[in-house]
Amino acid sequence: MSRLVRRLGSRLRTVGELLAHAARRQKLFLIPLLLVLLAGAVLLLLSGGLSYVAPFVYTLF
Amino acid sequence: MTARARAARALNRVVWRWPGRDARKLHAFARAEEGSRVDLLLAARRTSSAARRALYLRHALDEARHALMFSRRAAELRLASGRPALGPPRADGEALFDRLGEVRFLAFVHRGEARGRAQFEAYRGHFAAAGDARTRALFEAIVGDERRHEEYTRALLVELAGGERAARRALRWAAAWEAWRAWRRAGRFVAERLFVITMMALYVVLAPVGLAMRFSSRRR
Amino acid sequence: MAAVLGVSAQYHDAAAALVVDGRVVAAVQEERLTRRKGDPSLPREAMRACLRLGGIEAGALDRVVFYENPYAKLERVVNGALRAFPTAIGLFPRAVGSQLGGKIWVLDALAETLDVPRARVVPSEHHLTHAASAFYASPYPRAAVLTVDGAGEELSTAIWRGDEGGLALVEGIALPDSLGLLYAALTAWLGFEVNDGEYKVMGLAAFGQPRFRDELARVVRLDGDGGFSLDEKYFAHEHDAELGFSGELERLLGPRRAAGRAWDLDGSAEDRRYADVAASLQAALEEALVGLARRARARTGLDALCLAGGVALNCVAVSRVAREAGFERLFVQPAAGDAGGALGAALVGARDLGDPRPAPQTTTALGEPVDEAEAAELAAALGLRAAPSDDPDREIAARLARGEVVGVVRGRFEFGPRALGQRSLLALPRDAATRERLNRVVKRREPFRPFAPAVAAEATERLFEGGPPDDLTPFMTSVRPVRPEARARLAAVTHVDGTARLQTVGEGGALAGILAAVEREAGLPVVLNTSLNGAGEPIVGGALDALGFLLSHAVDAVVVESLVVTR
Repeated sequence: MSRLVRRLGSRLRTVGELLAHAARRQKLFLIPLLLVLLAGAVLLLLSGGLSYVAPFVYTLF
Repeated sequence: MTARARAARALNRVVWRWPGRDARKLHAFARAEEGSRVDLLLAARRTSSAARRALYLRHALDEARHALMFSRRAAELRLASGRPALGPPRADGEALFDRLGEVRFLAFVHRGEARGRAQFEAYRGHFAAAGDARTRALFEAIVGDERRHEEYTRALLVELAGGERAARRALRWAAAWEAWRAWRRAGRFVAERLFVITMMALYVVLAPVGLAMRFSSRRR
Repeated sequence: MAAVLGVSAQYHDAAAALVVDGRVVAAVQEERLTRRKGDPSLPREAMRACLRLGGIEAGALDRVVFYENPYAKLERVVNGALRAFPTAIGLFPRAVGSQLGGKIWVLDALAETLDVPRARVVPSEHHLTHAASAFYASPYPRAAVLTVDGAGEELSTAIWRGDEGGLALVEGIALPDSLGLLYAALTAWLGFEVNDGEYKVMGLAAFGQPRFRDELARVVRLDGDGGFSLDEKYFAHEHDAELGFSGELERLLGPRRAAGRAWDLDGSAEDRRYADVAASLQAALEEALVGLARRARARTGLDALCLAGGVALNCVAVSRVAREAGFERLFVQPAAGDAGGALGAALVGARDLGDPRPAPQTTTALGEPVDEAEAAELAAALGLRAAPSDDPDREIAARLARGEVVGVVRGRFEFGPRALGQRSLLALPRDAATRERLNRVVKRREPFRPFAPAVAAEATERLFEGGPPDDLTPFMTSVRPVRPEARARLAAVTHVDGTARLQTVGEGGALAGILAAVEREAGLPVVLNTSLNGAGEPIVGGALDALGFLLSHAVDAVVVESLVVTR
């Protein structure tokens, strides 16, 4: 249980860093966008995990 | 013949008719062999006995050869049909040996080899009937290896599990685990489709943002 | 005094590197351990290996540094997709899913895998880690640094100034202008696999004439001041992840070459035309790189240049920079690609924590050693013949003199794409037939692929032009012309244009003993040195891989330290 809490805390820190990055870049309008995208990703994770086969040709993202 | 192999044979007559499906199917087999190779090499690295290390290594080398044979034949078919290449077969390693332990890993591998052998025997027959001697020969060559793999993994499983009963228990566990994985795979498939649709919709909604970005960078 | 672990992952060539008290203790590419070529996944095995080699537990790490900033990457990807509205609609879900579903959580994954506090895991910046991997490994107290690759967070190219105070960014060139992406797109157009085939394109270029300079000049424009830009209409990065080039490029240069088709440069005019395009691309890249290097010299005023980033692996272009850019000394990080980013990240972390620079890099043998006892046990289990030798160097030389092809596995395996004597496949360099046999039967490569020589340092000037060994030659990061009078004796390692990607071996080098023995047996202290791996495989790591290679490839013997193993 404590491990789960630690993992959650870790993820929250990452989210905080992501938002801080967006704020620093003065792209404040990106923040609501990112929140929506994050929600979408979390939903996907919860429903069975993402295992995208990365585009092996142009691994730009 | 098992029910699955019978189903594979019936399905064959449909699947292999679709243009371009044959190369993709062979490529998928190549990917499966490649995944098996990686997992077996991990097993070879982790196992504590030199004898088993040698067995897993030879098995992995067979899988590597199979992956090459499948992907070469797939490339030939793609080239002949004028379609772009599928690229080398890449598989995500799953570190199964670490996750399952040696006994359950062997049970899983044995089931996989048995399943592969039965399916490939069915495909071999199908291609013989269809007159494609080359692809038939490909499956013929591989079936022999799969049979050997099936046999040695069973024998090793009995030895490591400590008897026939324990071996059967491990095999039942592996069957259950595979079923659960198939369930999760199906769930992931659905979730991914939903995600794609949602994101595409979001993309359209964000059109003004994107266009604004494009105009602002052009002005610069 | 700190212990810092650097990590690169997720895109290509994951790796880990450990720097303790400013010393580089270990560096390992994940692919060597998992046996998946270019393995991009989180390098669990490599990280564990580095900690083992350093004799420390993960808990003792002061910092774990990731080689790039995942937030900046996400921003660039999302912005790029939005800006390309509406064509990137197919790409957007996959990109977002990939980023938000996995990639931005890499720092958390590292913390969890290593079981270290999340606060100790920090991101760095892609081109900074490339620059650090080159500058801090170089023998120069002050140098200009040029990093050139496909794509970092936002930059593809950067010029830095390195000195006692560290690294300072002078200027950068942002995406989508990128020499790495240019080369990659043409690599795909030529029918090779991206991130794998670029090296083949470089070898192919020597077979062609740069007849398409005008066409290439439309694709990549040099501004005469060292800068360059790509004409975006020929590329498709923003909306087509698989291809990278657009139909416009095919209208300019002709239809792409089908992948997997056999090459026939002698008999096919079409293939010769493709080689001409490769030659034109290579010429354009060289000019761009020389221009960038000259600009770096002008902006920094320094005499030494360090290079890193995937494009720095183009040793033909590097050699032109060495000749024409006006620098007195040049060093290329042997692991110039993304694996080197792990090393750079660790070095950045070490410097940030106040540790001194490491001593100049003299070897790439930073991986795991091979266990001879394990090899003997496994050889017995496999039914192979294994006999210990009390003079393995002489045994190897005798075999080579008999025309054999021998694998050599000794010491710690190399970090970077070149085998420099730790995991090498050796043969005599004399006969062209050797090259043909190695390409066709053993390594199963295209027939135009060249092989490279390792030469004793003191014999370098006798056999090759361009002066004595320099900072590039010990690592096979440059090419030199083979002296015309020596070409007959070095036919297997002389490329069609008369050059060789040579490795000079000093007195203490891994191959020194073998080269001395080969000189006694065959007259010249030169061997053909190619990496010990088959087609599409990563270079051999330990005893298991070495014996697996012997079982599945038509070589005569593999010598693991002093154990001679044959079938």
